Amino acid sequence: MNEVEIRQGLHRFCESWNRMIPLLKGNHLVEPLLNRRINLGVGGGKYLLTLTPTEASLSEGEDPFANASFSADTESWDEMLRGESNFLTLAMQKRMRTTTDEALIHLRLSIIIQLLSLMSQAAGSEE
Amino acid sequence: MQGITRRLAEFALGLEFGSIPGHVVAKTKEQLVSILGAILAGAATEPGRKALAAVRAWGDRPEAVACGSDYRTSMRSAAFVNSINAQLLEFEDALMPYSHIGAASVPAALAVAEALAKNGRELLVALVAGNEIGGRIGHAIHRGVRMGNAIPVYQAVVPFVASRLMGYGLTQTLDAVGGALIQTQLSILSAWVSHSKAYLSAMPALAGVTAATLAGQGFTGYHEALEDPLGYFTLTCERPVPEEAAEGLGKIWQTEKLVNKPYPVCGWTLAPVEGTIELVKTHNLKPEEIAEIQVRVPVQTAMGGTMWKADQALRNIRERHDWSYIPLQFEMTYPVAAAAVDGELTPRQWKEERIFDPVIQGMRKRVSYVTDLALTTAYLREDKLGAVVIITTSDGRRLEKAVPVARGSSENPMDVNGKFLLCAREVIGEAKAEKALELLSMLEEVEDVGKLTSCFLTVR
Repeated sequence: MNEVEIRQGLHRFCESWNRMIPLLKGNHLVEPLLNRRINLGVGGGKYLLTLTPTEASLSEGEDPFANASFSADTESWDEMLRGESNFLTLAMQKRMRTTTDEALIHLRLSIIIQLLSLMSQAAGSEE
Repeated sequence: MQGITRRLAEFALGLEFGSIPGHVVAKTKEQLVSILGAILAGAATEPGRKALAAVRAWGDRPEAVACGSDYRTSMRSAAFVNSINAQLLEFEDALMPYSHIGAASVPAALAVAEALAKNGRELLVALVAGNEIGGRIGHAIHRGVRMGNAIPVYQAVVPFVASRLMGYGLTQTLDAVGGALIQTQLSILSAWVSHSKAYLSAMPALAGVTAATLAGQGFTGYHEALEDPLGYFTLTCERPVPEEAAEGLGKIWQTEKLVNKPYPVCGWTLAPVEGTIELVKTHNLKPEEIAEIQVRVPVQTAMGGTMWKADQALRNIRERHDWSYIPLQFEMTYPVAAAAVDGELTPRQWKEERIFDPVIQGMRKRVSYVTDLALTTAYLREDKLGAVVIITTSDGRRLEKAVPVARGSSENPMDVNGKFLLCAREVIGEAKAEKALELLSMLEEVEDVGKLTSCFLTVR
């Protein structure tokens, strides 16, 4: 995936979030992400992901007061959006790093991205 | 409200054999048989032999058997080395859905029971107490980012088990628990590639028995180690629910949810391996007759199976001293490929000659996974880790095997005696293996656990 395709993938994640959030709201990984703004770095591109109890939205640019920053190269984003990796597995390959402050947001967000991707694939495989 | 640590201690100390339902006792005996098999299988591996050699060199007082060796060592060292070997092959048990217990509780309980000449009933009661406490603690701390064996339950189980067998009162038991948890342990997930992944259970086994021993001398430990605002629950989980650790004690039996592993592999991959072996055996398939293996799995299995990539693991096993076969146990293609080629997944498939076998490696490239909504729902609603295996043969047949829940659970029981004999024969010989099974079957009547453990020495 190139940067444009990653951006499209992130929009698809937002759509999945919006569809699934009524079911996921009580989840222990999702709940701490609610009402968070996260700066995403995709290669050279900068985006702001806003997660609320009703919707996820993606806009261009960054917020200096965001709750966390989450940057990765396009290859890593590609793997996360296709459900093949999450922050944990990428960190285990030394491809991503974090700080204690941000680790939980990185872990939770990437696990939810992977989960929603795999759920979409599972739904697709039964169509 | 009374503290959780205290309530669990009171439960562990107050539990009586007669109050435990028969099916819970039976399940615990199966756990014991299964873990003893895993310990002996581990003792026969190269890292297992190294661990046994290192502990022998410590020269401890001979109190308890180092299983699969010709020596006894101190009870804490026996708990330690037997726990290493219980863990080495990922052949232990899981108390669904969040706790691994037996790889620490069984070695610790056996060592203490032998050293103190306890009887079979006392051993069983201590193990049931460990399962009941561990199963609940796993629930209390599962709402975090850790999964499976990374949810650190062992360390909170062993001091209760050891204290029960040591005949302690409440104060000493609380001292033991506080001592064992003073430096609450978490694991570095990336480090599971090395033999030292076995420390996941062995360090807690050592710490728990050691802390219990010191507590017996009046060495104090903090009595609210679990529930303290800065304590074990807080350290191990971002969103703990401590009350769950003591709910339904003595009324709801967590032990019922115990899954003994029929194959040495991560629990997520048990059902895919079982389905593959059944298809290969039923249709007498040769490797060259298999064109493709597609495995449908719950989303959780697919997520767990992404921890390591097989290509990376295989390269590093060859090139790096610190990498071993272990990451392949958490990756989904090798175990299924090995099962398809060999018709089994046993400790043998974790030896390098099988791992790098060209036929298995060729088969690995033909294994793929697809996530499945129905299986995902079954896991979320009923804790069932299932799979559907679909083999396409080279002549175009489509063979399918659904495994709704992996063997080893109460719903789909496994042959634990078969597992034990498979692992034990080559280490202690047929006669001792049979003798051990006989004693295990009548464990309630065994007056001295040492009679049982002496079967696990490689010499008379």
